[in-house]
Amino acid sequence: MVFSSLLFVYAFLPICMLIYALARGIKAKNIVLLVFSLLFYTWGEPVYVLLLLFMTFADWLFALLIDKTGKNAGRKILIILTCIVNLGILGVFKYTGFFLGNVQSIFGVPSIIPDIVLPIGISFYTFQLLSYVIDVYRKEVPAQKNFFWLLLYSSLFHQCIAGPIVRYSDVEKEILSRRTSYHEITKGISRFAVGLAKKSVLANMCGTLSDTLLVSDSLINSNAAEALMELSSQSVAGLWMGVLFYMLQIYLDFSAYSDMAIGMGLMVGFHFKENFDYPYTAKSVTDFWRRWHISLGSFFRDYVYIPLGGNRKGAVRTYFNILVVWLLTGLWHGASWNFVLWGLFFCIFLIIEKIGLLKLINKIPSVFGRIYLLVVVFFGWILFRFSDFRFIPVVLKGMFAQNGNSLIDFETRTLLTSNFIFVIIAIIAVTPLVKFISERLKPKKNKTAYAVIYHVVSAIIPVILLLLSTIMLVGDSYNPFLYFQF
Amino acid sequence: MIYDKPRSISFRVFSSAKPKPKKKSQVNKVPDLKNEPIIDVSAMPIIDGVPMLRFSDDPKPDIIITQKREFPSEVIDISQLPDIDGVPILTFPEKRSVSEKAIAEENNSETVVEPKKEKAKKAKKEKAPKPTKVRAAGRKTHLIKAATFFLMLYLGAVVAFAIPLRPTYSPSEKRNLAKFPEFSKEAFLTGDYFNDINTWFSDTFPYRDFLTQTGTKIKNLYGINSVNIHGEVEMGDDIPDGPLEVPSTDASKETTTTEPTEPKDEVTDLKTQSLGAIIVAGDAGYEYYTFSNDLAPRFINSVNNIKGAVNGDAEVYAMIVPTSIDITLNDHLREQVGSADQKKALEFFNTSFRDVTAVDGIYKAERMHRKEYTYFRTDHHWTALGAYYAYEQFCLEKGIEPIPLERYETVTYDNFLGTFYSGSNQTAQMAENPDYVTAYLPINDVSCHIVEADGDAFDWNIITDVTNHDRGSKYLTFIGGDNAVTTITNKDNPEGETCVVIKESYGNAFVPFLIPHYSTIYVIDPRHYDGTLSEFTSDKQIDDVVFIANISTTRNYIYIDAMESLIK
Repeated sequence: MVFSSLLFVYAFLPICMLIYALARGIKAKNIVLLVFSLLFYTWGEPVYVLLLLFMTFADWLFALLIDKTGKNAGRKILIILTCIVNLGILGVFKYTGFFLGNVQSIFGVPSIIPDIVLPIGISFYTFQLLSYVIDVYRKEVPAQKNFFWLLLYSSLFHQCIAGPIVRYSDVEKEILSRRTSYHEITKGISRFAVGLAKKSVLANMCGTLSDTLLVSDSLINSNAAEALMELSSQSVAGLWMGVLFYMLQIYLDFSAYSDMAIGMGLMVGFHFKENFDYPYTAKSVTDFWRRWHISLGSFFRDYVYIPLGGNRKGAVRTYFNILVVWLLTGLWHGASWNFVLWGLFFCIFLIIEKIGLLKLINKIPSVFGRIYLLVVVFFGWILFRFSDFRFIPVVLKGMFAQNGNSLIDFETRTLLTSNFIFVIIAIIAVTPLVKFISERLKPKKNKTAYAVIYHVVSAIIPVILLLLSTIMLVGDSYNPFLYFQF
Repeated sequence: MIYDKPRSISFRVFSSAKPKPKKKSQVNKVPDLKNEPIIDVSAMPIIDGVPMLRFSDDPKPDIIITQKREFPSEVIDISQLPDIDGVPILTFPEKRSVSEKAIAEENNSETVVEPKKEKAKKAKKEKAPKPTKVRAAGRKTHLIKAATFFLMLYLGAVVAFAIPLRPTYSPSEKRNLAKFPEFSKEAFLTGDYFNDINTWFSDTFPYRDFLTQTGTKIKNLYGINSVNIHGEVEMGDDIPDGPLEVPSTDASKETTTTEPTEPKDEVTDLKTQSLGAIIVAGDAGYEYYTFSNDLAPRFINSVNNIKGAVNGDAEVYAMIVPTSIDITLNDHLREQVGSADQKKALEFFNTSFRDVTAVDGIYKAERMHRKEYTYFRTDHHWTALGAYYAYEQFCLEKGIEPIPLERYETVTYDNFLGTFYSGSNQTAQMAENPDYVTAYLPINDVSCHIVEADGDAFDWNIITDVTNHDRGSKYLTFIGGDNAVTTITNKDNPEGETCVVIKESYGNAFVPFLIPHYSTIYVIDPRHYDGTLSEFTSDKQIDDVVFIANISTTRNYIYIDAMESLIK
């Protein structure tokens, strides 16, 4: 089940919230959340829900053992074991096919590559559990004695399958002690409604437009040769716009899921950290990665980069550490070389910035930094989009008019004129403009006519967003979630 | 430090800073807090999970609490804190300070709260942060806001669960909507069972048609759309300049040996096969046409092999009909659209046919009459008038005199919204100006017998009253739509010739015009007929075979598969 499905919005969520509201006491409420979370996961993975249970159980046990072990050596062995188990399982399910495929292409063996289906959300919940055990090892949080409360953390439907990667330390206290106020519930509702509309109105449409202008994954998978030919016949403007729509889609789609997770968390008293901070308004690549998928970036910072020595062991070691982090970041996004390349692509810019570019950027007017960042990210998404390397040069050549196609053709022009208002709205949606305006519009005084109007409007907006999303979701079979492959 | 429930509170004075009148010159000067610059927050009383500081009577506070940033650590060095006008600012994570945030909202929504002694006192007195009068109003506002949303959500849920409201069939899409899946262990384990429930839930959502139409209206506001393109425009192959050079006999062997026929359930897939991309200009739709290098030779070969498959020495006529995009679409627009040139494609097909009389004047004839109502605007078919002009060309090839159109009486069925309407997500301009179907009533005494694919047989009319059919099905007026075999007997012409028509749905509007010229017409739709042509004609004397199909079928593998299995 995904958040942006009618079944979730009009069946799962209302029933869950109703029973949650009726349950008395934090334990009963937690049981409600736990049961619904497991149902939610089972809905997508009726078999692999057992894997989630097993991994949570293993990590629950590891954390308890680490907590009980006094000797440093023993703790160290246990934490190494934890990492082996967690990363091993993640590796088997996510990277076996990729690894064996590469081995096969070099050595010719094995002849058969097993087709392992990636369990939904495994990349997210493995990292969550891993961060929990490491934090216990570092004595930053106490070990959770109750297995079911740890299971609630790892399986909570808000964030289990699509992030953000919530740290146990951030929600530890809230598992057994949560407060909700109407103010926060209202905030959560607005956040959820914004996320739902972002996904079902904006991201899905951007996806359709991008697939129309580039090629759809279904065509690539069913007939790569045909897809390649179609791509090579696309006009110059069509390709630029296609990548632009993809760039919009991927942010709107992913941040929408984080919005919905944060919103639903607020409704029941969980406070998840922000996962996106308007990344496309960043001024440098360094800045971008502080704003894009923050929970993943901070995971790698805290559990890879800093333990490797961070920037404290000399310049060479620093660059090596950055390289490791970005290889892993790339690989985390998918078991394919293009994701590795994508990670390295950003790594190069980060190192250049560290060497001196960042100082330069900070001196010149910020508009240059913003343009530079957008250009880097724009081309980065081309690497991200096509896991088949044959497509990337075709797109790049086509974008610079090297495929012998016209600058713009009738189909592209038609698509743009009939969607230009939508494009403007989607671009506004990736900037903080709406947030900025709504802050400005907040009434300065209560009980004025203006304040009343403001509150009425702000009560109606989430309802309108819900209705709009419903309209777009009905009959909208096109509803892929891009991040499922991770 | 554990932020549990609100506890009983006792205050501790951390600072005894003396009042200092605020002067401009004192800006940035830290007040007299230096005697205790490090505050142990964990020792502070807690209200709502927020450690509380007590302040002196100074009208200007010693410290300002904000809730913008992360709470740094449990022990805070005040001298390290940022300051405003010399007052250190202690920041807490937003989540810890619910009550203060609420106060902040009401206090002119400032992000910086300046705690006042009165408030602290009040809090002390009541041992918990009781809402002040102002805050109560805020609470109420938020309550109403939350209630509004949940009201809508639960209203939606009630509607969604009102099973009788759920449609089972969508007339505009001409398909049965998804059914609630039956439980099976396999489906459960693969996840299909739950997936199918998802599909069922959204596919049969109450008021589906209304909601999808509203969605299209909203999407119309996304830009200027005098012209719209729906679906993905495929890139076709180049149309060869000369005819197909493979000798048909060899090719027929090839097709039967190297290209095995698809299993037969492919044929039943027909109904879900979608149209190619559609361009919508105003209230009219046009289907894109692409040429396929793979399928075109198979198509040609199966037509060329008709003659060999028919018992006796029949004359085979092939009528490939252009579609509206190359006939009625505005020329200026047509030049820009990336759809393959049908004129060139038709030349290729017509010159590639062997042992077949190609009725090659159809394109020109339809172009001559392009300003007339020869194609529907909201549907991919042609009208009976369009079919008549092709019939004139057929008569020319066969050397007979066409029956003048004036001899026919007509019936008209209004309010037809066909496949382009549903395929374009129900374009509003089409709904405002629907098509109408005009049919020409037979001038002879005829009987029409239909055998369906499943063997059911019944008598039917050449032209059926479709007044009460749904608005997407008006084209069914002609010879009862697509069926396996339809036998039409002209009792006025018992000594005439016998004809087999192999057709797809374009043939339906065409067949009625053939009636006066034959005594018996067998209409075969290869997609529905399981047998072979040679079996079918083995006990019949066939004079003519008319193969009629629109040009889109030349790249339709389902139709070509069906043809190959008919001709084999």
